[in-house]
Amino acid sequence: MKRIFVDLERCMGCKGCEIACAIEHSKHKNLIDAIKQLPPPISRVRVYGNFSGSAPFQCRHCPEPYCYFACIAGAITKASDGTVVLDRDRCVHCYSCVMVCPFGVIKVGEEEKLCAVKCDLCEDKNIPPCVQACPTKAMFYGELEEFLNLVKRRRKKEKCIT
Amino acid sequence: MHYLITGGGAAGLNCIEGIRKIDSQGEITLVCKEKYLPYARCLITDYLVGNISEDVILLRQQSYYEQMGVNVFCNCEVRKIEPERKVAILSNGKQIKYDRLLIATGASPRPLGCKGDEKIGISGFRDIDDVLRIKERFRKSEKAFVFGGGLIGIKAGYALKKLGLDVEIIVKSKQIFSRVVNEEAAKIIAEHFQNNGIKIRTGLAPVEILGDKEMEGVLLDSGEKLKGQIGIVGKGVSPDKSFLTGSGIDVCEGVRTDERLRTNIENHYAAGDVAETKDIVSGQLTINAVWLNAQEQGYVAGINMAGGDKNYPGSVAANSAEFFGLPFISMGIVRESGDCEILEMRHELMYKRFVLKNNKLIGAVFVGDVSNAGFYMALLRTGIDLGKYKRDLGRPWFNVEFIGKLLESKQGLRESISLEGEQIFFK
Repeated sequence: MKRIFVDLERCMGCKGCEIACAIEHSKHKNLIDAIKQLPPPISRVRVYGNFSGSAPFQCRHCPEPYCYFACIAGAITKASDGTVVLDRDRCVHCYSCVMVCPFGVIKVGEEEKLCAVKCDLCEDKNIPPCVQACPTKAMFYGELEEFLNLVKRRRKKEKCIT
Repeated sequence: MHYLITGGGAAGLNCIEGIRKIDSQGEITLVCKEKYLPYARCLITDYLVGNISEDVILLRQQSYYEQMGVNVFCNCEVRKIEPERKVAILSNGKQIKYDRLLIATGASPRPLGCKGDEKIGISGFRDIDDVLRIKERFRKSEKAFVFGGGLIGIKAGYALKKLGLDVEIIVKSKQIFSRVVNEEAAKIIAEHFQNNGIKIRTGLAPVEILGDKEMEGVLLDSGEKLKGQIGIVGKGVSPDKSFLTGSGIDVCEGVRTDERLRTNIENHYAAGDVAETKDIVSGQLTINAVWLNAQEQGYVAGINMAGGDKNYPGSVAANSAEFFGLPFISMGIVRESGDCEILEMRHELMYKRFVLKNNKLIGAVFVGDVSNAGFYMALLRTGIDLGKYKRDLGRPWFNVEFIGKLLESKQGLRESISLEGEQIFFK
């Protein structure tokens, strides 16, 4: 299954992914309207950390997600491809998922409904905008295998330089 | 292999998921007490208000059970089990032979326990039939009472208020939600209720339900007589365990289980509101009767029943709800005891409280702003030493700094996020 992976050596904590995500989930999908939008669009990704170590966090699509167990409405399900899906129409905004997500990546929505929001991997896009926006290519969208190979290649190269 | 699941609640349903993860062949029988397929019990308030339809409240459609190869008996109960012969006797007279049994019968509301509490109009609030009963009664009603300050009763009162009834909550103790939040948080929530037109009166209890056959009013222990046609009983629940009498299964307050959710008898498991499990904070066997524990326990028990080996780390006391736009979350131990440390912050309707012991988080309450509560749940589950970061608990930058610190010190975190991308804290 395709997921977002992060090369931690490369995350500089610029928060470009946060902006890109908020724009993608805004009404008009451009920066200026997104900034003016009220209530503001919510970024599904959050960069944690500081200069000495940082990483973007978004839904990790856990194999046995706490949020699935906590959801009282059956609104959170694990799809056959392994993604954790939140059905906004079933959500009754009890925030049980917010209560248990250890990454703090399910947020209280304030858009048109109070329901919970989280990363949906932007399924209509080939590459999620947050990944595309990453200036250092720390974020990667694809299979685990591909990502591991990429990291291996990168590390080899870096060794040559030093 | 024949698996018998007694109880069609959250635990029973997730047991199917757990079993099928390992064993795709074995026969599964699910016995549901009610006439409905497993449904989202916590949504009965929304069902009462009419926010959601019948097919939303069902957790899975009929086709799911066919696909999973589950025989479902609705409107049926297990009357007795004989663990030695591995036979269960059902209320419809049938005898079922099983190889593995899951006890997940759940719990029932406690009665009000005062004179006249059998009158029409008095109802618990636990299942769809209660909702239908209240709906029926609703047309003839002007005022409803909630007896007890528990979450479920008050949720029912909230629903009735939304439907336009006058609602009054009568609580014996000093505060509402006394089992869930501390006094200060309860005060904020109670004030919010009062501002939105639900009256809360503490320190009072009903003595008698007035009326002929139907409730017409209530007599309180203060001597007051009040008019009202509906009385919701929110006195908590007690486990449905009577069918286990004489079976040899170890029952105390609930069915006692170990870290694999086994009972004292081999091949017999228990999960959900009927089961006593290890509390993750206190380490004691206790019943933490909330949805998320029931679902997880059912799932873990299912895996173990099917021959897997999955440890259940423990249940957690946790509640989350939203009333009139004010959300709140509580977890773990929220009251002070002997040697614990309390951190609190308050700003208008926003309130946060953290209870620490030996530098570890053992409980938290959030009112108004619940964002990132799950992060604190992870700290509570893992018992990480907070060190100097504890003074920043609840601040917006807390988890940013704290995770940054963890990233820096690596603690196995770098590899786990970038490679596996999952479950950093709770492994």
